[in-house]
Amino acid sequence: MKKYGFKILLLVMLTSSLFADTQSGLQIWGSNFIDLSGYHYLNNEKDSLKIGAMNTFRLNFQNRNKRYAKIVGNLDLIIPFGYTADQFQDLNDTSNTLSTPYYPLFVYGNTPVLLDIRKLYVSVYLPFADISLGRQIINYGKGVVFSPIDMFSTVDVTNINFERHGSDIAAIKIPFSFLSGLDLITELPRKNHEYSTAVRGYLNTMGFDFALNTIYKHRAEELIAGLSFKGDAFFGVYGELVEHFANDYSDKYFEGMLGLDYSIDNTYIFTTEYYYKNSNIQNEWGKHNLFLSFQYVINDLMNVSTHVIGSDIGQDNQMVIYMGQFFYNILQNIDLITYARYFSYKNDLDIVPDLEYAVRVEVKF
Amino acid sequence: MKKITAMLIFILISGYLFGQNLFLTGLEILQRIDENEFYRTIEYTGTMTIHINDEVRTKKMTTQAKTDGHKALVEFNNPEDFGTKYLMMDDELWIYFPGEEEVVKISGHMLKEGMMGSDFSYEDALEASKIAEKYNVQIARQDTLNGHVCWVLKLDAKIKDVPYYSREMWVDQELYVPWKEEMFAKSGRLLKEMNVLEIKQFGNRYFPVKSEMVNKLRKNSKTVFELEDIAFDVDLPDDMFSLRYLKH
Repeated sequence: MKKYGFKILLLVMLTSSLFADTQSGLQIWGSNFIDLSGYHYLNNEKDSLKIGAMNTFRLNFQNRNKRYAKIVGNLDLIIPFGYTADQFQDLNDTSNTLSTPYYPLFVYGNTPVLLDIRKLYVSVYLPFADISLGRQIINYGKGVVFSPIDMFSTVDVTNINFERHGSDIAAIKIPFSFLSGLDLITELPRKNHEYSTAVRGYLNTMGFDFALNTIYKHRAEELIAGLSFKGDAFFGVYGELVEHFANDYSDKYFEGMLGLDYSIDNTYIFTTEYYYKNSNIQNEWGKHNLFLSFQYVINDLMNVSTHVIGSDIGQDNQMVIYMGQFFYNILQNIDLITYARYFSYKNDLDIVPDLEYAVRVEVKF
Repeated sequence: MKKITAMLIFILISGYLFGQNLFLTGLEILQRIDENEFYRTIEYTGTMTIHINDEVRTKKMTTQAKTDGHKALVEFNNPEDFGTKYLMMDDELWIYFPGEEEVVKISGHMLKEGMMGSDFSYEDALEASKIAEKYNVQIARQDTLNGHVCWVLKLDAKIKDVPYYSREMWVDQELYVPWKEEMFAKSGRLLKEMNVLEIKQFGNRYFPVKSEMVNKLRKNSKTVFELEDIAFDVDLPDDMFSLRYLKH
């Protein structure tokens, strides 16, 4: 199935270029970015600098005329080298490929070549509803990092842009007014994996966006109800309140996230999020979690930013990620990003380095 | 008596020679500007050229706007921002980022900040209401700007919710289009200066198609905003300005 899927994708990619310059064809854009990274395992007595690199070719396409329907693709072709390739190999060995977003295409020597199909879906626009089918990023939450309401496309906090991976879904989106509507979404079932169905109603009132979400996790037989909001109260304020009903609705668990953002003169940008999670809920976070972010915009070509993501600080399962980043838009379509990250875990994880520093060069086309 | 009559005749004749605009009040001039610049709907492709130090960055966009309900939809189509969309309704703004399929509501206090890194704020770029409805006006003086005889109007906010507390406007006495504008904070500090570089005639309307904005709070920065393929009063469906359409 995967082989056929990849061949069809390849065919779409190749034939789309034939129509790229016509009004009825496909619009193609994308980027190529390469990360050159150094890793240190400071707790290891034999610590030494390990060098790795990763080249990502990102191709996006969609049809130009979107009046009645939209076909969208977002594909990453990833080639890791050196120690980064070893990390991918470890990831592949410790989990089956279905649980990771990457499709290993082939291995050349010690270099795996991977495909990440982030998006590949079709949407049809009817007068009363939009119908979508395929791999799509479903972005329900309001949080930058913490988003308990997002069951479909969760945030990857190890990605420097906090990107998400797609989910295979079928969706019907029914508008009630210009700023309100109802979404019905179901994940396509996968063997040995959780899949969910959701109903979401959203509206804008009094300057706030509100959404009510009801999600059912089929294999866990768990119902989740949540409210999300975003608006302005001097600060930008947003949040998510989520209640879980598990074990035939006899167990109830609560999750909550509250976020604030503020910008001064478009120069100093602050964001903070606090996320509380009940210990019965199974995910990577602890009970108390915090995200703090500060960005200093030197000018619109350059900025310096730093953020901290902390989970159960001071507890046995503490996890803290510190990151500093410098962004420089060198030319119209070329960005240079240098960043350093420090990972602090009390439970030592072999696969995660203590210190990583990297340079990314991204060329957009 | 004869002298008074002669003086009156002279005033009337010279008033006629000056395009019958000698007796216009500041408010009437503003209303004439609004007649020129105010539209029911507009559609255009725009290019923002942002100059930062010696660097130049270009953003291209298509814009549809409707004054009824103060609605605007902007879609960027330069490769770096491709597919990014802005939806503005009244004083609320949403941005759609296609990469993450994310609709982000922009906090109100951020509307005064630079749109896509330019010197134009969201409010500058998407403002669609009549100036006369928001400002008290008086004629401060006359001035000549690049060979154009202008009134200099002094505008003071008469409502609370305006992007600038006061403005000075150099208005062409023939075309009723501002060639230059200075925007001030309540403290009297000069925040921005806008110069119109090109005006085109569309039927009875004179409309600025190329403007330069300098944000006085930013060092070595200016943005040139150029409009092409402008169409006024085209039929734009209401549902174009919706959260549903934003994700299309």
